[in-house]
Amino acid sequence: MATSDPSDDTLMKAYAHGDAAAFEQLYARHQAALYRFVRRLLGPALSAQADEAFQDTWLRVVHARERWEPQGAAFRTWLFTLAHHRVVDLLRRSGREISVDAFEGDGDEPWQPDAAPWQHWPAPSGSAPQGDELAFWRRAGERLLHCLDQLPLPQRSAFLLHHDDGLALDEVARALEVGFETAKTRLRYAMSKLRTCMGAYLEPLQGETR
Amino acid sequence: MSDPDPDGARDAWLSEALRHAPDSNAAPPPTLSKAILAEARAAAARPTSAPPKRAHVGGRTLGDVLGSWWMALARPPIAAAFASVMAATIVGLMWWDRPMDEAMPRPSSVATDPVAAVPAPSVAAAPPPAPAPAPAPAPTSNDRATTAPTPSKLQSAAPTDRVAPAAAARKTEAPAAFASSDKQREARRAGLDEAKKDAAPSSFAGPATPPVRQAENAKAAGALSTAAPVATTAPAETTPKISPAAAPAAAPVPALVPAPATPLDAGRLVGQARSDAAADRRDRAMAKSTAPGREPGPSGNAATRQRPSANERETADAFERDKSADAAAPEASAPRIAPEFRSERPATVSSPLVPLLDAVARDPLRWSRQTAAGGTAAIDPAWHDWLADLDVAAAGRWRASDPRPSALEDERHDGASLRLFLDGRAAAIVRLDGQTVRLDALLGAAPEHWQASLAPAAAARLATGRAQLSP
Repeated sequence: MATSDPSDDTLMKAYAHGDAAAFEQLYARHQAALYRFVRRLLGPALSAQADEAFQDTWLRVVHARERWEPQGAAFRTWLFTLAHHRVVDLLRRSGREISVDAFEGDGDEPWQPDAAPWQHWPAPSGSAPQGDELAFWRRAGERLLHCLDQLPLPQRSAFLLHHDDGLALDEVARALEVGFETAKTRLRYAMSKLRTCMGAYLEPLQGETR
Repeated sequence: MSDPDPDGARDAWLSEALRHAPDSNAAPPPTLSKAILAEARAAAARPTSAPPKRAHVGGRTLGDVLGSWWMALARPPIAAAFASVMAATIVGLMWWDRPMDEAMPRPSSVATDPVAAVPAPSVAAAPPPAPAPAPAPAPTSNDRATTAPTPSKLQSAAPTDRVAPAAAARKTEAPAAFASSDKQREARRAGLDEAKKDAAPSSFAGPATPPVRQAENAKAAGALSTAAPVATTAPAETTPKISPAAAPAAAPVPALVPAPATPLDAGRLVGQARSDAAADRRDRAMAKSTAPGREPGPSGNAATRQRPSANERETADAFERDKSADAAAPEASAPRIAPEFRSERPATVSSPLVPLLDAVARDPLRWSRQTAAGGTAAIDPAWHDWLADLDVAAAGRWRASDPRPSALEDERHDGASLRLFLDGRAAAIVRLDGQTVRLDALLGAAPEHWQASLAPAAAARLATGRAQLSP
């Protein structure tokens, strides 16, 4: 976000005063991330309802524009909180069990995967990979979505907010309306499970990436 | 390598994989975006409703304050407390300006009320049932006050420590209407005994008849109290120490006299003895003992109390005349029964025969008697009247007796026994043998046996009357 661009809170206030363009800016700024978040949170089984959850989230923003006041939380955090609530409603309505207990580990500490497979993964360059490396990461991405679908919703939410949407851990806690330690623990469990899932899957690719 | 500590650090490998996921470039459908934006524009184009002026209370809006109050009140303990207060308020409003049960006058208090125990002049104003050649002057309240001590005075004069608690309880439970009936019955019995004062073991002259009567009751009650399960409290416990001057006023005392124990439980004899027919038959017998010209109402009783000697003798003579006439025409005396007598019923049985008489009168079709030929016949009114006379003559003389082993067999056809059947089952045997009358109550788990010694004149009269009845 460029420093010259108005902040989300400023745009929201402008929209609350009738500036439709401010909302367009907000929408353009967050629509992709929010759509991914909703889609990944619902999983492939309920991906058809991603549009509904996405639309409802934005309509809530529209209707709550006059009542919205920044109360220590950024607009982005509030936006993802609304989306998370809507997804939870959809999951409950669909009959899926929403596990409140996000700590599904066997012990106090989450199981840590063997570090050996990770040593053979290509280092994330941050730039656009090419060739086999790109293919590896695309397959890794596919596998990651599959692994995400196996996570409990609280852990999945924490991981997506933290890794995909770039929220800080305290913002994750605020978006999920839980304590900081709870959010931290959920994130730890989520990462541990994802590493385990991804490492087992990506190990055969080591030779290809070398 | 990945940083296992997620506190602020992101796993680069997972982030990279997430960035290359197939849906990383997913975007909402354009139509959906257009719809959302159109809605947003429409909402922005609508005139912004003036934000409600929120009242702030200490930095919070009034809605917040009310909401917090509501949430506080919605807690279970607070809600339960409010519910209790509301329930108490509703109950209180329902009972508002209404006396509590404890404060309401109970019927027993009327019976024990000295003033209520004395017949009211308004009762004397009831239409006289028959021409009264010598109507007794209705007493005034002053007369009562001067001549008749109130029951409370009698109670105070009597050794109250000798009165059993059960008797006291029964006193308080006797309704006033029943008390009046008992008074009349007692007064009539007093008159009868006066007429047969040869059998009265008392040194009192005419006016002292009620004390004599109650002394006899005391004797009988004393016997019953030791033999009967439900012993009667001696009704004369208060009267033996009454001076002769106060004796005439003892007539109202029967209202306070508890009923003697009965061998025939009312429950075993077709329920409570409360039928109008029973009261009518008893009262008919009572009316026989009263003077023809004497007003049988409470005023008559009051007159008897005022002039006990003359009236009691007149009553006895009239009773005998009435009996002789009534033997020829049993129903002839019925019209003379005062209406108030018909409506009054005894609160408690005064003799073992009372429940039996009531039961027979209440449901005569179920009752029958054994004839001299050994068959059964209905209990006609003449027989009932004879039993009522027997009840009057034996009142206060009953005492429990030992059962006779052959009570059911040896008295079947000797003419002295009257066997009564209820639904074909032997219910009672009434045997008049000389001056002794026996009552065997056969119904119930344990038959009960009672015996009374009659005055010679009464026994002779009953025997004569029985001989005139249908066999």
